[in-house]
Amino acid sequence: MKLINKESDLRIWQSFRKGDKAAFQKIYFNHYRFLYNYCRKYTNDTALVEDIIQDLFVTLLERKDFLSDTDNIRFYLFSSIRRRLFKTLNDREFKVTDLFSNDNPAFHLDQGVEPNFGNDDEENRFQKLLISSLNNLGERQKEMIYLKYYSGLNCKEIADILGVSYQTTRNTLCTALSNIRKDFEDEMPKGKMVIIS
Amino acid sequence: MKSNPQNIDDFLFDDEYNEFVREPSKKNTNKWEGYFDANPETKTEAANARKIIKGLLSLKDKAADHEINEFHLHQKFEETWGKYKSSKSKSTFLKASKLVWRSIAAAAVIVFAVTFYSLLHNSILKNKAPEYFEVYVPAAKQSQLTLPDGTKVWVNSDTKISYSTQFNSKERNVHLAGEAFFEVSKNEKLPFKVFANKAEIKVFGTKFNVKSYPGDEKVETVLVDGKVELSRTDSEKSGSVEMQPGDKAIFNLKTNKVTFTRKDIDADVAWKDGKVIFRNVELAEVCKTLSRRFSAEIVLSDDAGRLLTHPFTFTIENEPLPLVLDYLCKAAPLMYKTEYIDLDGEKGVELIRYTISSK
Repeated sequence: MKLINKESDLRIWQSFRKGDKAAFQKIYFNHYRFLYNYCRKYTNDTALVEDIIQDLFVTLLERKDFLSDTDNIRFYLFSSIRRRLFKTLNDREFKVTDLFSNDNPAFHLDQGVEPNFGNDDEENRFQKLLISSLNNLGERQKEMIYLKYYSGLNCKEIADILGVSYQTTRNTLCTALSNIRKDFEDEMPKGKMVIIS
Repeated sequence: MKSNPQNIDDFLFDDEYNEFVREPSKKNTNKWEGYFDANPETKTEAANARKIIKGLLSLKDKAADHEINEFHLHQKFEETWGKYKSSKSKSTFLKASKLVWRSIAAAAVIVFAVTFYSLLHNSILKNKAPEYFEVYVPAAKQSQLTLPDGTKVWVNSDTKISYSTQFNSKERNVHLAGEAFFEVSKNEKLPFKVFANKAEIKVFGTKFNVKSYPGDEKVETVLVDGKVELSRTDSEKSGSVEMQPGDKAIFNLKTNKVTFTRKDIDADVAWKDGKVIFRNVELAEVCKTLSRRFSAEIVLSDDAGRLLTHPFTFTIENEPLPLVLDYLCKAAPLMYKTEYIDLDGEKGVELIRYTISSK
């Protein structure tokens, strides 16, 4: 996955704001699948997801004269899509799920993220292990790992999107990563541990 | 160095190390090699962390791949764009009508003044010069209008059409620079005339297409139905030729010769139904048409020279430009690159330039 390139993001965004269809098209095709996949972690309703993404893009087009510049389009889109998705899901579904104090819809990593089987057996085994390890994580941890490694966002951006503090994000990610690492304990060749006083 | 990772968890969480695993560059490779030389005991820990980071980065989310195919995505894109376009035209209409109401008081005064002025003038100067209405349709747009005599005109991209205030009273003359399709209302007394470059096309009631962009060395007329007469405006001894339905007349402005053909005329008028049909059209001409349709700058690089006259046959309807260029590059040994051109030096992209070259 090629990650976000700030400079070209800014240029594309600016020409999109000037009404350039080609620039808009670039944005659409570069990000559509990421947005779709992210929303699908929250709902199985594929038509709903498509509608929400379309609404987002139409709104962006209509309000392009009033939008601010951004050098990170993925982040910009993710923040708005999450707000829209939650608003719709909360309006739409009966609040029976309110057994949890958390108002947010649940994040299901397994709706889409599956082991990717290739020709290499060792690789396949590792993938399978990794995914089962991810599925053991807490919901927040899963989401943060997903946003960081699959969607290519950094801690600061993830914190903004989820509406939590930067420190919380860092801590949650740190714990998540060391949980994953523990699942791989037996896999790893041991090195010499050096304790620094 | 700010970060000083020691064990696997440190490496897993180190932003710079993650960056290095994700996108190794000369700079960060040097940096980490230096670090491992100085801290050889961390090497195994780093390698283990690397394995996990690599694994996380290679995670695949297959939801969209399973549920949305490329074709569907393109459809969705056009749907989104169409939705925006229709909401935009609604809102500009509203804006316009608001404006009209606001300025109606002022306008009333002006109309009155003009009427008064022209009454006065008409009585003094019987033969005042006619004024002209001008319609310009920019590149990437197409438009349809109805003239005062009921004639329907489909105006293609980057085309100017003008007619005078005396249209339908003293004459029915239209001046064209670009391409338009006419469906002329019948009027035996007032012939309908199109002036395009130095060609004059005289008709009585018919359907035909005229293509004559400034800079073109020819005026192309395609007659779909009815009868038209083609003549020259720059010569006194103006001979004229009559066209039959199904004829295409190509008037070469350099040699002043007219060539007739009856081939592929449907392709020439397809644009008015939103299609562009190319049948054995040379690459250079294809690019000219595409740049008008999409309002894009398409440049043929020098090394495409041999392929300039390569004939292409294909039809486009709703495809976006990059897709069309992909077709071209598959059909012939061509490739293209996209450049964002910044004209005012303020980091704002003014236009996108596509450069086509040989592979």
